[in-house]
Amino acid sequence: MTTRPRLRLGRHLLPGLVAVGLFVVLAVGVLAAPLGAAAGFPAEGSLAEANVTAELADGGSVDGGSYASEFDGSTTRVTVDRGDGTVAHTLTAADVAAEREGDTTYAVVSVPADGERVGLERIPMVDHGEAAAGPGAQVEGVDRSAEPGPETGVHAVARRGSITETIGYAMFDLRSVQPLPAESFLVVLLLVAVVLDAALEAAVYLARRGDDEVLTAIGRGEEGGEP
Amino acid sequence: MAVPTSYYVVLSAAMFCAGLFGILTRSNALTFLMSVELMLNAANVNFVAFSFHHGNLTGQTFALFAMALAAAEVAIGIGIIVTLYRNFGGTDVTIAREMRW
Repeated sequence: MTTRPRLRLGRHLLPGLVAVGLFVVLAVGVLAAPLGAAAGFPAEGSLAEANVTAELADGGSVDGGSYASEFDGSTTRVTVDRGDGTVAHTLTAADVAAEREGDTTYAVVSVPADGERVGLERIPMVDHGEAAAGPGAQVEGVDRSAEPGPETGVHAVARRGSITETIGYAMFDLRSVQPLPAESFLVVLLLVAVVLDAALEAAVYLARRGDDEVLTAIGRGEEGGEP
Repeated sequence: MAVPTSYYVVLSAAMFCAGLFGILTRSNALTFLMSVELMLNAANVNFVAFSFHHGNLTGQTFALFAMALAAAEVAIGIGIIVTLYRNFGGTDVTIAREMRW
């Protein structure tokens, strides 16, 4: 037999009117609010996807334009000219982490562009020092003093920022390597772990029948008979 | 073409009001729990929608933690309902009028 909840006009009229009234007020308020266009997350084919081929240490060519970078000891200034206007980014050492792939260590820099987010870029480093090895390591600066060559220029743009990846990094406070903007949630993660543990304990406590009995319904009959 | 953020917020408002209606009209504890979940998920839809709107993943991460808290809440809620059923022979919240029995 199927039972369905019945709507009783007498008792349910006032709560129904309250709920519908609240919805109308909220909907009108939201639709009239000047929210503007959504910033969104990086799309395929943005600068992060461009195929960059290096020619010089301080500059290179990108698809449909040129790429130049200057390092003054603490700040790297990256300029991208794609024919439709020059976009410049200023990076500090705090934005830079290191990543090793094969024999080459790359400086991984986060480049926020105007109006779009481009995730991570990798600039090969001439100095393969120990301090620069490993993801997440802090880099003082990119060494541009060596002779320019294929390995010292802008080698490749790494990847677009992944949403799932960023959430994972944000949960463990790994902001130096997260490709998209997000706050740190390490403390929240630990608190939620404790809360879930407490909830498990509380659920077992509430499901107990007596002081000594633990979950009799599991594995046995309701009255302790055979399963 | 992305769906405008305001549409998500209107959906969230509808979910919240449906949950509110359920809490105001029903007396079954399980239906109560479902209505509270509906309201909680309405907040989650808002978090994700505004996360997209601002291009910042804080909202999505927060929604993930809100889901974990909802799971904890349901675990305790169902434990309370089981106790309610044992002591009063039903899950009607209007029968249990005392905090201790």
